[in-house]
Amino acid sequence: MDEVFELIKRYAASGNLKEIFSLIAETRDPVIREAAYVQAIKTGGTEAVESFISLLYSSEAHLRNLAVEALQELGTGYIDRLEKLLCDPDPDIRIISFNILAGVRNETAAGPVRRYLEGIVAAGVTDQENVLAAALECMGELGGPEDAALLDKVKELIEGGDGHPYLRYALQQAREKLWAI
Amino acid sequence: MGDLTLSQAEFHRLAEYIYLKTGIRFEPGKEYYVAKRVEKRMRELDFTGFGRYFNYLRFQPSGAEIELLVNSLTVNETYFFREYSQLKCFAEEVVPLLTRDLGGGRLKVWSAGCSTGEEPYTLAIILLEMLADTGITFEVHGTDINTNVLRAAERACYGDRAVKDVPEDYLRKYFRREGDGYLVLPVVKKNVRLYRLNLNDGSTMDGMRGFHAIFCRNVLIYFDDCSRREVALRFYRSLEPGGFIFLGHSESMSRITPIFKLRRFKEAIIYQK
Ligand SMILES: C[S@@+](CC[C@H](N)C(=O)[O-])C[C@H]1O[C@@H](n2cnc3c(N)ncnc32)[C@H](O)[C@@H]1O
Repeated sequence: MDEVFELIKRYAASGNLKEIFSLIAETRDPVIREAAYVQAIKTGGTEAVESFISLLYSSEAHLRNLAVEALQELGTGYIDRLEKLLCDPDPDIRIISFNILAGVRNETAAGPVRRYLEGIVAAGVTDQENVLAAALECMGELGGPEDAALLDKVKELIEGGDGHPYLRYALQQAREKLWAI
Repeated sequence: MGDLTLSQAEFHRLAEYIYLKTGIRFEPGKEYYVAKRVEKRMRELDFTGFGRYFNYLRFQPSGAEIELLVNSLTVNETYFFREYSQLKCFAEEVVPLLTRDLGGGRLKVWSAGCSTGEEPYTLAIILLEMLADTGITFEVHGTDINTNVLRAAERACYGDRAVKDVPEDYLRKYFRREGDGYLVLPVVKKNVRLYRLNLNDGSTMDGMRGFHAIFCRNVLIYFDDCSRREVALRFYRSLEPGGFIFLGHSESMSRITPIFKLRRFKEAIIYQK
């Protein structure tokens, strides 16, 4: 076990993220995966962020979860990159991306969520229910009272459609959160 | 200056946020305690309303303010026999398991983030009681990053508050009254080694090997996610196979890392290598 730890440390020292990520993806040993993960986070940078983004598309749930945690941690400097994921053709990726943004500890993380909501209001068409609900939940986490007007417009849009109760509920939750501060 | 007192809703929002970020839960009823410290920070930073301070707390990229606030809410708080039921589990269920597999060896226990020494001395008292007449020896390592608290631990003289949960017969057996305080007796002290160690210092941590149990209670709450995971990984390497790690009751190892196994005992849930 100690040899693998030393190996991971050497990979990190020489900036060899490729090897670190193949360990994360391929090892069956959770301790080795964890050691590789921690080194990847500590190394950080664009290559690490891109590699974690690729893991979001993995068929293995634990790798996707690991990538979400990593991107919440590393995402602060990569908000623009995360914003691109909000237009991913796969709705699951869009949902995951809202979850990531909600956990990024940075004021700028609210920007992409606002722009997304403004986008659907402008276009007059909602996204898939689950995606919009994730966006609203994220808004509740990151937004402030200044987002009231935007949420009113989203409300009109929802009511204009079939006014799905699940979306109404998500909207109500978001409003309560924003009003609480 | 605006109104700096916290409303119920503001307290809830803040308590929920602190819980999310640190795992520390401030239950309703703690409003006054929390509010006093928040109001002090708001005054120091010149914030006129809670909303603005809360945004500052949430969005400051370094995360320094939440750490400062949490420090001011917890600091070096500790006392003898803290979290009694967990210690009971250690004494009655874990120690017998560990010694069964130990053969003639020496039991090594580590109190990581030991503050002023109440925890390592408590562990030494428990081990003196549990291992009497077994022929098994033990050592307790107490480490902390803060040299002031370590000096106090060396003095080993405590006030009423620190010893309030010490069972009466242990108080008589392992302490001596000295002035207003209680002095820990040499029979306990001689089993405890105290030294400075920063849990974030990789190379020193690499030297910590061969432990059968690690207590790291109410310490990792001060760490960010990644350093918490890194420390947990180092603890894993410091433990013997089958060794146990004890966290504070508001902390959960499975929220930090998936590498430890969860073991259910009668009195507590403990993580094991
Ligand atoms: C609240 S006390 C916990 C005392 C005791 N473990 C208990 O649960 O009662 C937290 C201690 O962790 C120590 N600590 C914080 N960061 C540390 C670090 N990086 N390395 C070592 N100790 C640290 C602090 O100095 C403090 O004494």
